[in-house]
Amino acid sequence: MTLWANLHGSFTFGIAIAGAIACDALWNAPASARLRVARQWLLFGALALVAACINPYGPEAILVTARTIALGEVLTIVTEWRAQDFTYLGPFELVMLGALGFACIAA
Amino acid sequence: MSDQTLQRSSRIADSQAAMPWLVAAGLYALLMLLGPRLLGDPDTYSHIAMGRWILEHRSVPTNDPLSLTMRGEHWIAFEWLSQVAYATVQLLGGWLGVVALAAAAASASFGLLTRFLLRHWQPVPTLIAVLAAFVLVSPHILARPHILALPLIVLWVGTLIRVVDEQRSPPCTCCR
Repeated sequence: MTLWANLHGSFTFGIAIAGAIACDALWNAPASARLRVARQWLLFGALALVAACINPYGPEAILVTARTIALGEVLTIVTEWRAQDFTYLGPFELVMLGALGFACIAA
Repeated sequence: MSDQTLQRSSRIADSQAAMPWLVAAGLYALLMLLGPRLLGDPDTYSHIAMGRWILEHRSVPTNDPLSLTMRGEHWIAFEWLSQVAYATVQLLGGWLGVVALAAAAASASFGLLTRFLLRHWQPVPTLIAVLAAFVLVSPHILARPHILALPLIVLWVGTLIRVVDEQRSPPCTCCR
């Protein structure tokens, strides 16, 4: 996480993804183990946050994602930040449909 | 099991162990052939310029030292390590060095993805999924900081999903 936080701003999404995965762990844990699993993943999340702060700017690097998202209007003209446009069938739509189809068959 | 069957299954296991490396090596060769296309992003220049600034000043900026319109405004080079890496390989190996670094990071990412998927899937579905991932990622395979973070993204998400699948505790010694 420390290396990631010094290379690229996407590390904040890494922490968010860990949160989603932790919810999965909690959901599937037996009721008796839930408290222990919650404690483990909360600790993991806290450590990931601390690890992300090990960079020349400290916690400020985490704020960059929030600042970028707060740009609002400007993001609509930056291609990589623009919302996905589903009005045409591109590679993204095809792969997503394929993956959804696969998930439906496999489930 | 007969000796023949044992030999066959060990051969299959060998070829599966080699697959992530083959994917990575094949992709690396492809990306090196496509070299100039990895440089098709104007921001590569600014990242290298910032990397040089950091190397020259032996410190990271807190004000924008390079832009025309926002010069001197509060700004942080939060991707400083990528910028220093690109500036260093550019000094050492020119533009070829820059392409080689970005191509290495991208191919390592797909090698890692192959390795994670092979734990659950047969080689053919794995290759289809890796190909689909490549289709999605290919427009973004550019010599920019995000491509250096890509192997870490795969490693992070792959490892976390694996520990949850196996109902293990998070991957750190003090989280047990």
